Amino acid sequence: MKPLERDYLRIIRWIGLAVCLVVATIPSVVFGALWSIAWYFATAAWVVILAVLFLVLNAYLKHWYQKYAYQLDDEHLAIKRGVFWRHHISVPISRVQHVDVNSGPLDRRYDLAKLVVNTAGTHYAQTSLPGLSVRDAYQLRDQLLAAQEGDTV
Amino acid sequence: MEQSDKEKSNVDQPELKKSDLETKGYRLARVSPVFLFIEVAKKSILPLVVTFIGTSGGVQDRIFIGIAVFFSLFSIIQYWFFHYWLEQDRLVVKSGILFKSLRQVPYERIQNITTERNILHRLFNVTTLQLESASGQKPEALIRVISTEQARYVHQFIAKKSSHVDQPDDITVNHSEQGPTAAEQGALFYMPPKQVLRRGLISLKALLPIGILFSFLFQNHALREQATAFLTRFIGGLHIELWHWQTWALYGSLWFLAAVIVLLLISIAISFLQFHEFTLHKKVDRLHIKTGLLTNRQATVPIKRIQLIRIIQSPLHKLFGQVSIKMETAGGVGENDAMSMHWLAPLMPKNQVADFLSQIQSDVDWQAIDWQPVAAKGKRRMFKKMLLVLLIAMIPVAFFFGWKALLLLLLIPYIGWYAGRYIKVAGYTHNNQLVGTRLGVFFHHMQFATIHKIQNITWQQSPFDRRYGMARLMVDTAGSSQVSQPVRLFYVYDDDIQPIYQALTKQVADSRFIW
Repeated sequence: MKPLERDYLRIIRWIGLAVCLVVATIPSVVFGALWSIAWYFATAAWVVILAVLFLVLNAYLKHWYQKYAYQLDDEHLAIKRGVFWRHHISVPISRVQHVDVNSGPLDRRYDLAKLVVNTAGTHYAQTSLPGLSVRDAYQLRDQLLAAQEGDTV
Repeated sequence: MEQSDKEKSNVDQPELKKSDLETKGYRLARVSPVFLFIEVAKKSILPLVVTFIGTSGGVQDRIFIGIAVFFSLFSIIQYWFFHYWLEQDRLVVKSGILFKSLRQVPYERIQNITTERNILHRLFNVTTLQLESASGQKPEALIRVISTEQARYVHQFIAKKSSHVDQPDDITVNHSEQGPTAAEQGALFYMPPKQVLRRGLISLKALLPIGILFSFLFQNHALREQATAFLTRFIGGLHIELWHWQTWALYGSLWFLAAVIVLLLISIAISFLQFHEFTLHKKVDRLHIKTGLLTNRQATVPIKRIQLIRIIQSPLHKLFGQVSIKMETAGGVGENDAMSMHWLAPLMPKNQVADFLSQIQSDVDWQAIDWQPVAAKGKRRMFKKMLLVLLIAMIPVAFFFGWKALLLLLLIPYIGWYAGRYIKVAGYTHNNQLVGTRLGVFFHHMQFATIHKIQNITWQQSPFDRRYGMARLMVDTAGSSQVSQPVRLFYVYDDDIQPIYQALTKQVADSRFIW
C-alpha cells in the first residue's frame, strides 16, 4: 500500500497549528478578562497551553499520517486510515459513478490534490483520498474511469 | 433544435396526434386545481393545525393562515402554467410561473409509471401520473390529474417507446368489477381482508396521531377546559372530588378500554385504506403492485431495482406469527413520497417468507440462509454500555430527586437480561449471493443486500472493538434513506470479519452493478 505525499503532513501540521492558536487564545483571553489576571501570567499560560496542545496534536497527526495508506488494483480502491478508530474502505471500481479532483490553496502550494470518489451508495457514497500529488491524483482518476468505459448506466 | 425535432417527428411518426407536437401541448384536467389544492393542504395541514391549536388566537394566527392561503392560491395558479407534450423521443413538461422550467424526459429513461386514483379521482374520472427514472430522489415528472383516457394514452405511448415500461393493465378500466377471487388468481401475493384487519391490529397506526392530539390537549390550557366542559355536558357532572378509589378504578378502566377500542378501530380503518386487496403480480422481471381501498395505487417495480430487503417483526407481529417485508429501490423516489411503493408484503405469515422471496429473487437461495451468532463477549460490552448510559441518566435525576435516583439501579437486572437477549438475537449471514443482518430484542429487523447491489464496503474498528478483538463491517447500498440503518455487522470477532471483508471485496468487484 502506498503512503500519502510527505508534504501533506506539513499541510495538516499547519492547519493543526492554526487550530491550536485559536483554541489556546480563547481561554487565555476569556479567563484573563474575567478575573483580570496579570498580562504576563496570561501570556505564559497561553504559551504553555499552545505548546502542550501542539505537541499532542503533532504526535497524533504523525501517527495519523503514517496509518494512512491506499492502493488501487484492477478490482478496487482500498484505503486504510485511522489511529483510534480504524477504517478499511473498499470501493470496487465497477461501482464508481464519478471522480473529482480537488485542490485547495494550501494543496496548490505543495502541488497536491484530493481525490473524491463517488458511488451510488447512500450513507458512505463519497470516499475522499487527500494528500496525493496532482500527477498521482489525475492518474488515479484516469485509471478509475478507464475501467468504466463501456459501462452504460 | 426543438423545432427541427418536431418537424422530423412529423414526417416519420404518423401515429402521433397533431396536438402532441404543439408547443402549448396538453394541459391538466379542468378539475386539477382541486387536487393540487388537496396536495398543498396535505403538506401544510400540520403547520396549520399547530398554529390553530398551539397558539392563543391572536393576530399572528391570522398572518399564518394568510400565508397558507396565499401559497395555496399560488399553487393553484400553477395549473394554468402546466403544459406537457409528447415528442418523438421524449416527454416535455413545461411548468412554473416566475421560475419557468422546461423538463425533457427521454422515454428510454422512464423506468416506472405509477398511477393513483382515489375516490375523488374516480368521481371526476381522472388519474395522477408519476414518471420515475432510475436516478435522483424526485420523480421525473408528476402530472397531477389528467383525464383517465388521456393518462392511458400517455401510458401506452410511453410503453411503446420505452423498453422498461409495460402496457397499462386493462384492470385499470374495469377495476370495480374485479372480485377478490379474480385478483387472487396468478398473484404472487394477495392480502385477504382478514390479513388486512390483522395488519391494522398489529401496526396500530393510529397511535401516533392520537398521541399527538392528546399531547396537545394536555399542553393547551384553554383547549383542555373546553374538552372537559364538553365531556361534562355529555356525561353529566362527574363530581370528581367525591370519588372513591373504586370509582376511579371503574371509570379509569372503562375509559382505557374505550380508548383502546377507538385506537384499534382507527388503525384497522387506516390499514384498509392503505392495503385493501394488496396484490403483487410478477411479470417476467417486474413486480406489479396494486393496493388501496379509496385510493387505488398501482406501481411497477423492476426486480433488479430492489437494492435492499427488510423484514420487520414487532412483538405484535410475533403474537400472530407474522412479519412485514419492505424493500428499498434504487434511484426511485424517497421514502416519504406517498406514491412510491415500498412494501413487498405488508403482512405475511412468517413461514411463507422464504418461499415468497425465492419467487421474487430466484437467483438468491432464500431457503439456505444460515445465521451466524455474534461474539458472546458482546453481552458484557452491551451491558457495560447500557450501565454507563443508566449512570449518566442518574445524574440529572439525582439533582432533582436526591437519593431516589438510586431506584434507577433496580433496572440493572433488566439491563442484564436485555444485553443477553440482544446478543442472542443479533446475527449475520454471508454467502455468495447476499449479506444480511438480524437485530432487535423486541422489534426484529432483518436486512438483506445482494452482492451485486453493494456499493462499497467499510471495515471499522474502534478502540473498544480492539480491546475485545472485535470489529464491524458496513455495507452501503443505493436508494436508501439517510435515516435508515445501513447493513452493519458488529460485535463480531475480527477473525471472523476479516475473511468476510476480503471475500466481499472480491465478490463485489467481480459482479456488475445494474440499476
